[in-house]
Amino acid sequence: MLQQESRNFIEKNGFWRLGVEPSKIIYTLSDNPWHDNIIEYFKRGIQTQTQLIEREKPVFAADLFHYVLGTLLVVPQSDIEETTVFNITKYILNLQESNGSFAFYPTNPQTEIAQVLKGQTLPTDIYSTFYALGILDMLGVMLTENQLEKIIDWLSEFQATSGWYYNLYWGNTQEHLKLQNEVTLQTLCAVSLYNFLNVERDWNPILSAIEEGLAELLYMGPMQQCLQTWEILTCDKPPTTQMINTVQEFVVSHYEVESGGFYQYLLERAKQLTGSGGKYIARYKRDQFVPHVCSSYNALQILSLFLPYSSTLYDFWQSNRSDISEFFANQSPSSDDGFGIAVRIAQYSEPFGPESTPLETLMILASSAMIEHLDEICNQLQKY
Amino acid sequence: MGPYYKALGHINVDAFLQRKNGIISLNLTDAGMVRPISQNYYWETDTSSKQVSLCPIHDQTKGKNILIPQFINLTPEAIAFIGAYDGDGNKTNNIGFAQNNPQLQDFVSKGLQVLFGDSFHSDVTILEDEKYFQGEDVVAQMTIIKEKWITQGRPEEQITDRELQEEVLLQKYASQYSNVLSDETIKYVISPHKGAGAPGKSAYEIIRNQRNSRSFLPFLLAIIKEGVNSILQDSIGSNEITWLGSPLAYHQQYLDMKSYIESGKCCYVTAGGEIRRYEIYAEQGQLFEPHIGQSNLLWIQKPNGQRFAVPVELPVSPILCLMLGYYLAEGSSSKAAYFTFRERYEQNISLGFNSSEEDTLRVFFSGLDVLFPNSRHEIITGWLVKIGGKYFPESITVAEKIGIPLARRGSKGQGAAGSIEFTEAVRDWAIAQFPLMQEWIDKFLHIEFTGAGIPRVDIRCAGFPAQFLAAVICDLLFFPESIEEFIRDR
Repeated sequence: MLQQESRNFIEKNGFWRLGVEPSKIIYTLSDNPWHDNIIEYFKRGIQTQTQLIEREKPVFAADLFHYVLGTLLVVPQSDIEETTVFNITKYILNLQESNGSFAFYPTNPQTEIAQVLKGQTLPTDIYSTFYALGILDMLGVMLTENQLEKIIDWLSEFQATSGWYYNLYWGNTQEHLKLQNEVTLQTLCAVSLYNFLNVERDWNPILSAIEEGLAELLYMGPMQQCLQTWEILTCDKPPTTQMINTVQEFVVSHYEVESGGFYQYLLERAKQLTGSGGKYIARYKRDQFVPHVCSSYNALQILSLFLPYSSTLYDFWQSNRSDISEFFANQSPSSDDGFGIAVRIAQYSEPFGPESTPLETLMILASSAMIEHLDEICNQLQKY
Repeated sequence: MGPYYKALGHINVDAFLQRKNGIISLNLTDAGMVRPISQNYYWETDTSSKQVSLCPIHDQTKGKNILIPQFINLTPEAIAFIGAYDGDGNKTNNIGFAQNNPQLQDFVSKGLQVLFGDSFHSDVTILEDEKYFQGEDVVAQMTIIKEKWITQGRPEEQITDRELQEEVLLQKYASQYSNVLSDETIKYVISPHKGAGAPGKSAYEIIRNQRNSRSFLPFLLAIIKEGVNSILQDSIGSNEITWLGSPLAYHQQYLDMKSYIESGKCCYVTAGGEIRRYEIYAEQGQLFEPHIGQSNLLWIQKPNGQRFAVPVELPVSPILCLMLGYYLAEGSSSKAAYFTFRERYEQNISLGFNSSEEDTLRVFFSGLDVLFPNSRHEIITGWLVKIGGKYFPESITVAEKIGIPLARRGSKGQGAAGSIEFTEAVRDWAIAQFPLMQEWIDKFLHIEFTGAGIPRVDIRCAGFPAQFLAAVICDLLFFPESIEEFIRDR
């Protein structure tokens, strides 16, 4: 299915995004009851993205990264047209600024959301640069040493004294008021870029920021992003006891027994801290609150990092493994063959944001391999 | 209501209750929620006095009965009341209205009085943030009150801060509502969470509830829903609601715009303290613009400002009155500024509207068409989606699904979302949820994180007609006697 050359390219990117080796994902594909839908979803997705590019319509670097990764995982390479690779490569290279960074989106007066970016030059950011480099890497395009050095110089400007990375141009809110995933995902992308480019720095400010901030996290995504950053920087160094306690309490408390899925956040805690001081908690009762694919998969990623250090999580996994596995197996594709659970607000009829996304479809695709990976970790732990 | 306007239709309460067989059951959509509401009533109609005796039934037992008119005239004020109550009135518990502007509170109280007469006493709750009492002026006021009480013989040690705070609020309230204090019970809610930004800043709000009216709220909401639907559906008549003509167009009276503008009533005060008046740029037929046409239009402008077209005869029609009522509740202008902008400079007079319901947005657009015929594309400058803090968790979940960081601007996070992927996703949601916004897709601006409320559409308009609209609302709804000479019969 996948030639060795491409396999090497996606190995790093796939692992970074999904926390499990792409070869294992490919191996479990045929067992997935929805594999035809998933193949169709990524085939059609990459085709649509390419058509938009050909028509000079903008596509997002984040979406493109996930579509390219999914396509390389499930579509036979012979089915991927050379023009597709050429057009995507050209498009991404056109997103590059002279300082080496990449934009998340091309500014184009014809675009429907042009007013948001009105008057801006290429809107570059940390995460979009990571996604763009990932795409180029997966498609076998190498940047020059000079370009890579520029990126390293550019990236260093975004580290705050607190240790976190973020881009004040797009989000100039004071750090303590920022939405958590802005800080944690940008930092993970920055660290992944350094890792990708084999750059060594003083990581202590980031590690301290994570250690100090972990207990304050409200969301599964940011928690996973912090722990993955920690893992990249410490290379298997054991986490502190306090971190282990925080993580195991977080994971267990976000688990929903009925569905086998994990919540992105705990309703009352998140709403009290972000809403109106907890005064009107009764109002939230009508808000719809369900475990999501992202948060559930992120929980598995956290488990894969912490099972060796936490007997609580080890026991938790052993007790709930089959229900968690069922949660992923029970997901069915939406009309576009993709996967995802809609976010709903109060009783609005329409889902808030997209129902299915390429990232969630990748997570469904990778879930069997991830569950096997967790079983392997447990087997290893049993042996020792 | 005042004698200045002729009714545009009426509600036959007896026929309404007959069709429902006394069983009111409706799904009320409000702030993104669908609230099922139901209540059974027993009623008797006295055709000679034209009054309906209405009483709720609980567990087969009749409750307190009240008298309401058999026929409720749908005057312009009554229709505006429907819009204002639907926008800002209580949808649960007792009938009531939260608003810090006394004139608007009185306007709604009068509307309720048309329906319910003196059946209910008012319970008033005055809300304020604790920070307000830290302001220099307020501290001084509390000191004066305390000294006065000591002089009157009260032991100093028995005077609490809470008592002083309540007295400050009572004095403020009494100065605004001096004529309605006698039969009201006043409660105070002083909280650190009311939303005042800094010491001395106020988050003053008055909630005026009709005591023991809870069982009659379903009846009121059903009447309101019925009225709004009949206007939106342009339905001339049924047994229960009869309009004298098409609710979207019919009018008995109109505002003679030429004499109204020439009278100078359409004026405002500039930042420099000068009084300026809207003036006529071109009269009917003198100016032709292809997309607007020329018939029945008057072109007006602020001195040296942008000209815009208004009807020569502004029809006082059901749809206009409903729009003005909703605008009182959901419009972007400060309510207090309506009553002062002709005497002093008011920064907060603007033209804009926000809503979480498609029907309300439709009423706003239709009303704009009446006020500014065929010009709404020039009047509306853009729209955005506002998301309150309560919905940040859902917003972060969307960002996580897409795989992007969710950034926002403004040092306190009160500004626009900086994440374009999220912006596009939420814009697409807004168009799916409110399909009429599709027409305005090119004018979409951004997502704004602000307040605490549910994601909703916020429409921004040009500034040049803002004071014009404020003058029209103020004069048509609150001071119709002041424009009696410009109101003409068809």
